[in-house]
Amino acid sequence: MKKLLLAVLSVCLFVVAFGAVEITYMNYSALPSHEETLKLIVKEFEKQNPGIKIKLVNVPWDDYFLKLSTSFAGNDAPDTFEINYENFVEYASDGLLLPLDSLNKQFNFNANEIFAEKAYKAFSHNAVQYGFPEKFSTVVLFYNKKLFDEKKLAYPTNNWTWKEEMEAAKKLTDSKKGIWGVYQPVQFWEFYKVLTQAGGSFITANKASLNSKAGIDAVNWLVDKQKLGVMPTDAQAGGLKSEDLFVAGKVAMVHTGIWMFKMFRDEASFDWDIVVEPGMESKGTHYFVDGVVASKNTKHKEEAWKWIKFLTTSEYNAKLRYEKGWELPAISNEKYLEPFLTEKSKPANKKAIFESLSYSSLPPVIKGWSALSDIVNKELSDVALGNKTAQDALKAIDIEINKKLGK
Amino acid sequence: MKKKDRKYIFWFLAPSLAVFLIFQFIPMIWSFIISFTDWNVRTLPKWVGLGNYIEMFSDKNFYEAVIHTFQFIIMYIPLVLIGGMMMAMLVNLKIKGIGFFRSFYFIPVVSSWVAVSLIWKGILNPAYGYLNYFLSLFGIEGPQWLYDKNWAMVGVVMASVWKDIGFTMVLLLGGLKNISEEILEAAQIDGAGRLKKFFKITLPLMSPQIFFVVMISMINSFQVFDQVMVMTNGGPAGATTVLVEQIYRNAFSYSRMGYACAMSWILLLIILVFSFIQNRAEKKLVFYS
Amino acid sequence: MNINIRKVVVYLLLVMLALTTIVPMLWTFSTSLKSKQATLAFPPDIVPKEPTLNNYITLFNSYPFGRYLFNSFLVTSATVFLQVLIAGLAAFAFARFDFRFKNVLFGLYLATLMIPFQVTAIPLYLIVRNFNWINTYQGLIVPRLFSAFGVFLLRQAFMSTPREFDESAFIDGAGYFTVFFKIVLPMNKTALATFGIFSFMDAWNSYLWPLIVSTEQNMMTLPVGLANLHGRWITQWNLVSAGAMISIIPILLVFLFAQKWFVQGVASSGLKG
Repeated sequence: MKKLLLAVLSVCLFVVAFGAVEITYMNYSALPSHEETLKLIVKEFEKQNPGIKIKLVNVPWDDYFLKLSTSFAGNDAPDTFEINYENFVEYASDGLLLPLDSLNKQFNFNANEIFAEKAYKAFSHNAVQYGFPEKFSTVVLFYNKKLFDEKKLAYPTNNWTWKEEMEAAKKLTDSKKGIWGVYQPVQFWEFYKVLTQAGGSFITANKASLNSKAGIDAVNWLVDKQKLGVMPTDAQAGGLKSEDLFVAGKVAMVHTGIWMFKMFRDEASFDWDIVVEPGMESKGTHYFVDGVVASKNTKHKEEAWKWIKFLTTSEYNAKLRYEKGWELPAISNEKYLEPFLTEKSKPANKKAIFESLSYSSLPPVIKGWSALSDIVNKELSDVALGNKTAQDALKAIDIEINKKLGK
Repeated sequence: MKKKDRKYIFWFLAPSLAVFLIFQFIPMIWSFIISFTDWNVRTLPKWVGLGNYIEMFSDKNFYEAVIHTFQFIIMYIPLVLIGGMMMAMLVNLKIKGIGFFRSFYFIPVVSSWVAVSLIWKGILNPAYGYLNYFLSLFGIEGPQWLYDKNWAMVGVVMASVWKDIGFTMVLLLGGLKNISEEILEAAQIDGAGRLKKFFKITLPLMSPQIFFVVMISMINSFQVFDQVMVMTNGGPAGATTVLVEQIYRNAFSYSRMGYACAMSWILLLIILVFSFIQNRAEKKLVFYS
Repeated sequence: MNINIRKVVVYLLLVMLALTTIVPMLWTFSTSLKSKQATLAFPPDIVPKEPTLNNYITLFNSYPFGRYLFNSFLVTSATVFLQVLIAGLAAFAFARFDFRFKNVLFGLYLATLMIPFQVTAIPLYLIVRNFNWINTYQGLIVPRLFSAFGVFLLRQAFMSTPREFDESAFIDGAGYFTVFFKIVLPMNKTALATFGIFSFMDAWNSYLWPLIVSTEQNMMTLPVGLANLHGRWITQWNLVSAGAMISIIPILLVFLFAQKWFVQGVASSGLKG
């Protein structure tokens, strides 16, 4: 008895003397409106895992990678951090991340059964798993039902192609009232997806050959809407974002991500819904996925593992995310998804999210990825301004990408 | 020099020297060394010799950035200098409430670029903006400003001049205040007109301040950055991409710190050349009392 | 009569200029009183239809804005005071003494203005980290204490201050420090005030360095805290405007206070030969 008491006492002493293990978690998606939600998740985790404390470092997206890479330079890397798929590839190939496979085994964690396959695979590199997918989003076509009703048009369906979209956009455009039919930003993200829809692909056999029929179709589809006057130019948008224009009832259809649900629910005064984005030669949708990873040099590998597992898989976390409209956890278990699918909040056609998942493809990722997207954006905007033909722009993009791939 | 002076020199220089050496000089040298490497900040740098410097000469973005930076400077400096001079003379008048106005004119200087850019994007908006409306009153069809490759930089310059003119005003005002009334009065008695007084007395007496303003404005405008990021983000289609913007992107967005450092040293070299030319001009033109 | 017309014209000019400069301030203020919904109106309302103080309340309730303000005040006032002192001392050395490598050193000082901070920030971070100054006030303050702009500006001013004053003080048995503090500094209030203002603005608006050196909420300064309002997808301009108002007001107050020094040139500083 005495011995037991002594043992208990010494354990207590140990805990008091050495305190809890502190795990830092750097992230970009808590700011600006989900800090409280994240704190709730941390609280629940700390309750379930006494002895582990989570220290949050919330950084705004614009400065996130500046801070993250600086912390690596100073050997101050956070134990765990959030990362998007595009940057994950760079960090993984730099060898900065903690491999998770052996920890999964150690804790008998069958990750394959829990996570959506596509999302889970996104965070493996050279057949080693480095991260758990935290949340995903897709881009869908949002539409304003009221504006469709006013023009007595049938609502979009999942089977629409570019043709139907363009026809509807033309009919919905009402220049007297200052209403445009559609908004699809002219930029890299849209381009890679539209390219898939046109039947092309970004990089094949480690070479870019975008100057093809599919490439030209894709560029034209993006820029024609402005040329035909069914979509506002940047100048006409007057600095407002497409989402703002949609909420204000100035744009009838908008291509944007499901992360806008919360804002649209809160602010749109009309009824709206979503469908899978129209395709052409084939369907094609975005797949944005954020993951959580641990630094290779973390001193507390097991605790870090426990935290990122909790953050990505716990039922508590999944529920909270639905409730607070904080994108969707990337788990396959339908039990978790049911409350989301059946709840009354907009949009009614939530199934479109999962349907669009089946057409989704990950964005092309090469080393120096953001340089690539800047190049594409620049060339696209030259075409939109009428300074270049689609062909010339695509040629220029090919050259730049192949220069980077050749390195 | 007296022996005692040396001790004094040391104590006057020591504080600045210490901070300068540890927190400015070492990082500068370090960035020079990094300019010969390929470094993504996260892992160890790789030595590439002159690679970065050689690459720059075939980098279209770099050339464009240099050209745009010069475009900015050529428009910006004369405007901010002449405008600042006029404003300084205006607020140097001895009338009631002038201090109040002086403070008003300083507001743009203290406003954040985020706020200023929102306003100017509104003013310059081709469809709804006030500027094109104003031009239309004279039958002029205004350009697309920030959405036109040829006019975007002009728009950035206008906003910058508007924001910085209070800065040069304050610097030049210090010079105006130092011109004693007696000299001006004496000139008046000699029958000098307004213009003559300005060119023969005010301007020469203010030459140190003018030199200073030109020097500082030049050094600052070679590093034009904030306004470009918030107003155009380098667009449209790269029409306003400038040097420090390219440096920033390479350092933190493209993970190419080595290349960013190399660009920075070329930038330093360019500024040095121009400072040197200016320094020569100063020796000829500036008048110290 | 003639004089009166001139006066009216001058005032008209002054007022017109003032209007063009106050617009953004009023605009920011107006946006800061709007709800999120109201900011979307296009063209925007100049005067908010239903003004509200909610944005300010949100700022202080959901973010430690009080703490940000305190940090900014502390860091800025320490930086300004020490920057002016250090630059003043150096400027005096350059203006009054001759020593070997004087021009080289001055050139090196100026060179620090010519290299973008973006590429020296990381080595600076590594140095400060070695001192264990991450998330400390000294980490925020000390590395930014050297201002080549200040040395340049004050040297220029000190050079125009006649040396005769120094000489007469030396005859009275004063040393260089007495000359510096009792004669040169008081005679250059204009230049000191000018540099003080710019130093204040610089420290107050400084963003990149505080961002890198502070990772804890309670060590963040106002601009870093304000950046937290920008999201990956959405930015709430009404909140951002409220934050911008809070950050502009102190600088304006400082300027209002300091601008009376600008009026005093050498001629009126009470030290006429």
